[in-house]
Amino acid sequence: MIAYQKLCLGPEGNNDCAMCSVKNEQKTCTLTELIHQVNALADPENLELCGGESTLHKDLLSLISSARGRGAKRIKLVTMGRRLADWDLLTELIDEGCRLFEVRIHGSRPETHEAITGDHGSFDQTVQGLQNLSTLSNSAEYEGAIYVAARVGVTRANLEDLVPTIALLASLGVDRIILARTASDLPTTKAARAVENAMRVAALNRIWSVCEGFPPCLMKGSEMHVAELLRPVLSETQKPKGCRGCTYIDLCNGPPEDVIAQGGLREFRAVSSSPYVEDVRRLLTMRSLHAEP
Amino acid sequence: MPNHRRRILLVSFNVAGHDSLALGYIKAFALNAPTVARQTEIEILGFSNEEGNVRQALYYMTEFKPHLIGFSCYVWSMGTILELARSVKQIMPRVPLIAGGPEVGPMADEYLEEHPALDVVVHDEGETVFLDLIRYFFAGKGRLEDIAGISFRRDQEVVRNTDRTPIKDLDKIPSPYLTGVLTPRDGVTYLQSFRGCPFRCGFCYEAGRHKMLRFFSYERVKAEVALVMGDPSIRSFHFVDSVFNLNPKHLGKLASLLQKANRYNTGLRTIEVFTEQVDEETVRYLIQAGVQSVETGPQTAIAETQKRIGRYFDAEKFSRGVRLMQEAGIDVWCDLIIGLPGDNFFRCVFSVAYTMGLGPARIVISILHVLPGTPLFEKAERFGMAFDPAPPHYVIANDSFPFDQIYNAVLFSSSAAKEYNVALP
Ligand code: SF4
Ligand code: SF4
Repeated sequence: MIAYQKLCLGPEGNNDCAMCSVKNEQKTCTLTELIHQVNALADPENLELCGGESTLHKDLLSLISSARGRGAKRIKLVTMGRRLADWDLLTELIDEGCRLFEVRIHGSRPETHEAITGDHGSFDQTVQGLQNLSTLSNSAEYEGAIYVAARVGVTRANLEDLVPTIALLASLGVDRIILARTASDLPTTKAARAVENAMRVAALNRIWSVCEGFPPCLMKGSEMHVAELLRPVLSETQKPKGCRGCTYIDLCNGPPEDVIAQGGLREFRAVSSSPYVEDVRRLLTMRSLHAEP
Repeated sequence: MPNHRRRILLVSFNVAGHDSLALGYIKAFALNAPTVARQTEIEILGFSNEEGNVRQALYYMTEFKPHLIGFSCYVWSMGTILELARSVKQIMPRVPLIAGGPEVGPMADEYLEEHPALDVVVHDEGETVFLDLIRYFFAGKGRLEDIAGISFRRDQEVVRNTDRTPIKDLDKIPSPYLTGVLTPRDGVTYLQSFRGCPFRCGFCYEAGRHKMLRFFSYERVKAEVALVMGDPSIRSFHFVDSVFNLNPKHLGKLASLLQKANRYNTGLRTIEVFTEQVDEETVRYLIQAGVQSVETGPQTAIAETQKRIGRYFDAEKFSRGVRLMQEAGIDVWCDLIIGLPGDNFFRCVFSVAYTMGLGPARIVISILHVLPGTPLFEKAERFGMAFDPAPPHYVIANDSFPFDQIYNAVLFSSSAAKEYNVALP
């Protein structure tokens, strides 16, 4: 919900994720460069530090400290969570002023998670990182002071494992779950149903969850969990014929590009009316939902 | 020498560490009557609502051996109080149990009908009524039928007396702090300059009460303020006035007397303000009064909903009021209620986004309680309100907000508010 200004620290990673979009030719930013970027922001109140793997940046603690000194109130670390298994590093990050974490986890078992990360042992470390966050969040010192979101990349490999993944995340007490369509080989409707089911299980466990990358026409009945409707932007993307007359046409980016490329458009059918669309449009007026450029 | 004084126990369950101001008033008023002061011993027993243990309270009662017990009933403590009352009745069947407070007052007869452990329920303000009850039970003065402002059980029948006109001159109620009934303590001292509220917000029990505003004299408030602010160990305290910035004249007077008494840089925290009315002059007064933080709406940012629940709301004026207070260094806490009629899931998302855009120090989310005596309770049918008739009276659904949307709105808003509130200063 909060609009964060993104700072990409560099491409360095400790996994070999199949769907990683970070280019290796990108260079790792130096502390001075990153501080320059913070200084250039009109409002550095909400910062998101991402990578590659943000926790591998050697000056991460100094960057957090500098950003705090320049007025950052919420610093969110986007991470695979492996290095959060190191209790000392985690407490240093928290004490320096990083209180929000978005941890990527792709399954409830090493087989599903590591099929995506491509690195043996990564699952146990990520879960240990989440466990450490949970222990700290429940401690008297940090009660209510740490926010943990879990981002699950939805791929063909983990569709069957989504519900157990939600159960695992529920046991780790996360504050939000994001189920993001990540792979291009995904059977669209089947994935949408699996995601819908997983979000239902999250709700039953009293955890807020959203999905990303699933157009509203695929998520009828679950519109409340469609991230793109919670933070709508006007879309100017050209849409295929099937989208004509859709009530969401100006709020939706249309079917994912990979689906268009593969010609699998039959599953996307224009939504003739929706009880939500008027109130979703009202959200377009909310400037606080988007980071200032 | 044996102690022949009659023992009265006044019981409440509060947020941990807090005293009950309402019971403080009742005790101070009762002890102001010389015979009562001479012949009774009144003890206030406050338990933490979070950890309040019925058997612990019961044990205390068996030790104190009261002749009369009064319960201060709020939505958050009613379940515990009823459990306690049932147990007390078993072991002290002859001790009259009197319930009062906003949870029971508007449903006095229903509570008596459904809970045989209770003997008397007070309709509204308790000070004068409770004094009459003490006189009736201990001195045999008058008849229960003649005590206005109560319902009671007689031979299995519930008898409802007429309501009582509230005390006009609030100074007739001695100050619980100045009389030593309550001891001012840091962070948990509550003062009051007036009773009542000029507004009629549909969810608020104040809205179901007397519209007439009644004031304590400035001399009285001044004396209480001098006592509290004269204690250097008290770093902050509160006013429970429904609207602290009621009008510029009242606020100006309060600000002046607070400023004069403020020798140790004591602060006022989480006072309630009507934000649309906050202008530069108001902010000057708030600062002069030592206000460090305020709590305010908007409850919802949807104008149609505000209109339905009888609240005045102007998004621009509200934003301006918040900004002016923030610029003056006052922390603003914004409250949102989930489940109001007129809202729905995406409207709640809008309210959260609007509120975050104001940059308050904290966002506080709560689920609508359809409280007895409130306009939403009284007009429940008109709004298609479904809610739990038992406390805490959580809303289930209404004509615009089905249950699944309310459930998801609570999950969404709680998560969003937590993400917002983890901000460091
Ligand atoms: S039909 Fe097209 S525009 Fe409508 S929701 Fe689906 S993808 Fe989006
Ligand atoms: S919410 Fe506040 S302003 Fe509204 S009726 Fe209640 S006390 Fe008055």
